[in-house]
Amino acid sequence: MLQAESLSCYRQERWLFRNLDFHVLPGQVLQITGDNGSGKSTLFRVLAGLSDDYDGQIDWQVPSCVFLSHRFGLNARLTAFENLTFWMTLQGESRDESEVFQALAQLDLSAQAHQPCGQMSEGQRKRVALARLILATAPLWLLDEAFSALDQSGRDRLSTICRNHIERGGALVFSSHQAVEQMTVDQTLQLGRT
Amino acid sequence: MVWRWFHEWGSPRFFYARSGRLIPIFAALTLCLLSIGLVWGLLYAPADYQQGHSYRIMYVHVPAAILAQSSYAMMAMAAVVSLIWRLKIADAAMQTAAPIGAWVTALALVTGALWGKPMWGTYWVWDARLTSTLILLFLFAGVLAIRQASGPGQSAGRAAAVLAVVGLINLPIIKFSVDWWFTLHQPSSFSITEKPAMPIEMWAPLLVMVIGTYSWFFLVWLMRLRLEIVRREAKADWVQRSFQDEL
Amino acid sequence: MGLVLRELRILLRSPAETVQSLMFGVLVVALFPLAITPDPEILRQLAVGLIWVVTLLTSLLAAERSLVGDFEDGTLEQMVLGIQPLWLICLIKSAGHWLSALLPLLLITPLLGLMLAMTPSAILWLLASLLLGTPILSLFCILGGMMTLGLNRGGALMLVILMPFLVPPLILGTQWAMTEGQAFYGYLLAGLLSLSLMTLPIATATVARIVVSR
Repeated sequence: MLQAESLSCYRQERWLFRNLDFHVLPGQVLQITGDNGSGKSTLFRVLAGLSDDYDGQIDWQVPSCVFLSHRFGLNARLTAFENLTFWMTLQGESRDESEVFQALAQLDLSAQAHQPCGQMSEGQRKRVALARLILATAPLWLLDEAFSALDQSGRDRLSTICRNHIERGGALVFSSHQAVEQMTVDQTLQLGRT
Repeated sequence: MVWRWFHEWGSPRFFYARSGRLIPIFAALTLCLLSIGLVWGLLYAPADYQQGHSYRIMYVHVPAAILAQSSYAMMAMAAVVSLIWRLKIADAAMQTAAPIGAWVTALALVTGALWGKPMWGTYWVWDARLTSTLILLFLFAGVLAIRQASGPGQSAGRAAAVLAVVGLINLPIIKFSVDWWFTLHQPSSFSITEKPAMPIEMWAPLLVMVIGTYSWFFLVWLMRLRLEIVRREAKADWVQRSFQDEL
Repeated sequence: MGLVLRELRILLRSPAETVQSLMFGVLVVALFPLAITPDPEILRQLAVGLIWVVTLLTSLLAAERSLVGDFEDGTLEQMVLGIQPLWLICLIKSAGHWLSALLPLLLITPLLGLMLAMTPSAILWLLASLLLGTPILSLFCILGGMMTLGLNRGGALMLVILMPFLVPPLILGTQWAMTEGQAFYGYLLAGLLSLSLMTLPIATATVARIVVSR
């Protein structure tokens, strides 16, 4: 589903990472670990297709992917509902109102559906961003700082969502600061000075 | 055939090796033409019946003004190549041409102002050509500033290249609108740029100066480009080896 | 479409910014008689140029409005990654800029014209020139704003970058208004508008991709 060969990135007079080789198959989970500044975010952006400033080859064997960065991509003046429907428009798909509400409910956000995202807590906003995962149909998920800003119940819900995705044959690449016991990880990639 | 040539010269190593031979040629040409042109124009050309000797600054101003616009066009064309074919050497060419062009434009502006003083008694006048040159300076400044502010990395070159291309497309539009603005408000059309029929003794040295100035531009551009190539490819083997030998 | 709705909603929920543009325009125009002269003869001659310049400045001030937020909260990335044509999104943003910053000024131009002792026919031609010319300003301002996203002192940089490109609409617009409709300038202005509509959103989209890869 996603294959990288000899992937290297040079930024600001140093190599962030060199000669990475990995292959993520359908139904697999790849976790990227490393300290702050070790290039995780850059790697995610490269894998998402935002930056082509790298050496090596990346082979995307999927038509589309979902990329969630550590910035949630939510406009403060729009409600959770409006932000989600806008995102679906960007993906070129439309969803019934009921589906959007259902997705929000799955993340315990029914009460916040019509609240502007600027008035929500960080955890709530993160969950709105995660609601996209329920609505999206892309087979490959790239989640940078997946479990940040979530409390225990939030993390549980995210693990469930991810597990369902994997069982349906999707693939997941994520990074997280905290250890996540609920996720079974098939491969790990360690960045940074080793 | 053309593609092979294009690809060969697009490789930094090849370019560096071969372009070295052009430097002495341009250097000789520049030295020759500029010295002849300057001496001829500043000393031997006949005095103008209207302006006396002060018109001689034209021999510096006009070549500078012509080069100012051409250098922007050349820089923008390097930008186009760098955007379409993603050739790093084209990006380097654009980067090195920009400061030269900016200084030449500034020179054109200053000499234009100096020329204005004896003619109309003031250093600055909103003449169409001077105004266009001022705007051209801003165009250069924009390209330089965006590259500098974007920090290191590929995106700096690309952003500057897009700006240069937008600038190139707008350049004729800007020139025309400034010309119309000027003629609407100055029907008594007096202008630095007006050249009443010049006798050959006057425009011959001008021609020499123009060609010499272009030669000078290519010389300096080439030297800077070679330096920039070496700087960018500093880690490559061929650079290490060839400079190793020199030590 | 969903893209338009989104920009409109955000716009309508930030009335403060629209009022800001309006106030800026009115206040600056009001300053000129105080600074130069209350003599209506002189004001009348300067009026077209003054109002055009004030419009230009208002446009520049508002340039980053719809862009900075999206850049900082990560929406721009999602826009680039999405399948909707990026040039369309940039075009919609330009339209949003025009609606939020320039349309209010246009609506209040008769009042401004009055403050500067303009004749009704002069005001009408001024309005016409602004109608054709301000969209061009919006298109360029969005391009400039996009280019300087995330950079230090982006505002000052944007000014330097945009100034040369704003000169033609300024000149053509003011000439058309001052000659009270000489067709030549009108055609040129319309032509410039068409050219800008066709090329600038694409250029802005290219820049958006560059910005997002920084």
